[in-house]
Amino acid sequence: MDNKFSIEDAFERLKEINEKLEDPSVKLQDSLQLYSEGVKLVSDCKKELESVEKEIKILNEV
Amino acid sequence: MSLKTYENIKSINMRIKSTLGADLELSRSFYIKGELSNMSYSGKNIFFTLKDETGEIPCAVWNYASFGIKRDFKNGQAVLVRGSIDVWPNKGAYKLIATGISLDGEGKLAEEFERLKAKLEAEGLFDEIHKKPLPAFPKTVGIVTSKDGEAINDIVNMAYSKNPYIKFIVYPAKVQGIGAPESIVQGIKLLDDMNLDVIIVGRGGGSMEDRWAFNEEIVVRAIFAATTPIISAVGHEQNFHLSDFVADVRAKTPTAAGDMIAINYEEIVSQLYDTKQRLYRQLSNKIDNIRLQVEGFKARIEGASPQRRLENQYKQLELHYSNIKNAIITKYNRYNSYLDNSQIRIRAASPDKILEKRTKEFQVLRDNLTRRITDKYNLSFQEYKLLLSKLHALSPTAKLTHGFGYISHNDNALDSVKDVVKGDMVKLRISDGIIDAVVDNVTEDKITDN
Repeated sequence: MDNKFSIEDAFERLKEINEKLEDPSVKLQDSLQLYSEGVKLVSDCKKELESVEKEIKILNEV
Repeated sequence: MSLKTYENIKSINMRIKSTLGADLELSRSFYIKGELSNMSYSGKNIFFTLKDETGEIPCAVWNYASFGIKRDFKNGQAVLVRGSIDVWPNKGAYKLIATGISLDGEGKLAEEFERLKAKLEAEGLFDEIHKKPLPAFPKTVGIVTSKDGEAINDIVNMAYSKNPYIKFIVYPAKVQGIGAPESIVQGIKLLDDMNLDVIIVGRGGGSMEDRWAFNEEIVVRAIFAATTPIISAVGHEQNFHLSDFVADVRAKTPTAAGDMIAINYEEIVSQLYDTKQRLYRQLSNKIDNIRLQVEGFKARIEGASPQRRLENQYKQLELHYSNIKNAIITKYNRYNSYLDNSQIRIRAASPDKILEKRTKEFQVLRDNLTRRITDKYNLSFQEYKLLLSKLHALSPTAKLTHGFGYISHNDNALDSVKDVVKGDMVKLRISDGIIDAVVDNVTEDKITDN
């Protein structure tokens, strides 16, 4: 299963975004973009967590 | 017959007990091998005789369950025993009190375990540096275990209780007996190729022999070679297996493994929610700050606008204008009143005014004078009157009333009876005339003013 998207990376990025938003020197326009990115990341994380099917597959004995 | 000293039984027995007790090797735990015989279970205890071709020794285990010893020993088995010697002086007997019994077969296994462990450890297979971290959010999990065992259920139930979104892929392996190591190895290799997030290798509890597959060298090497992170979850006891040492993580039980690979879904979702709230708040704050700044600038700019400046200047002009106006009015008033005053003074200084004034002054003076003179005259007149009445009071004629008169004898005032005798001629002067009288009698009677 190869996902480009990794929840771990997303969490890292969310932390970064939080810090940047707290920084008063970051421009407003950039802040808006960061916020929008952050919200999308949160939504992606949730989707990713839910995307896995609940399944137990028993392989045929080889 | 020589005198012998007779010991008593108790003292001999006690000496034996204390001698044995003082022997530290016997009175503390040691290990001994032998064959079980004459076994009997009595309540919580076991009694048996340990023997070999050289002899035998009576043994007992008190409360065998508390040492993890089970009821599955049989006469004739070769065993390894751990225990120490205890003496019953009153029976003249000693026993080996055992605290551990294991089949000698197991002993062999234990040796093999140590040997293999040392060998593989020396190769560095157990080193920390080779251990891979578990992914934080496993989504696909492989399990190598018996499909009929309890391990699967333990793992899966635990995992789903925390995170409902996991995909398990199970390789149904043989976990004990012949062919078990090979089966486990094949399972590991197959699952490792499927690019899963993590693999759990394990089984439920059992005897050391049952679990032996997880100490096999090929299994250890297969775990080491795998690229997927592997959790070793074997048995329910505190026993360690070589698979535990080589794996990236050891789980005490399959349930614990299930716990490790499952995130707490609700927690994570709630964290995500909190993160979203924070982002929103931070952005809001930022926007508010900027808005405040903008309003600040707006105020400043408006304050500096030409319009505002013009307004200010008009205000200032107004102020100057009213100041000037007031100043002029004040000045005008002052002159006006000065003028009025002057007029009054001038008029006051005109001749008829002066005359009027002088006349008044004169009249005042004259009146004063008159008054003073009158007063003085009155005063003098009063004085005169006073003097007159005083004088009048002193006048001799004032006394000549009410029987009072002047008595004279030979033209001299008579003021003592001693100055006259019977037959003398006296004169009595009263207010309206003179009486010539002859003294008839003289009586002395002095009037004193007491």
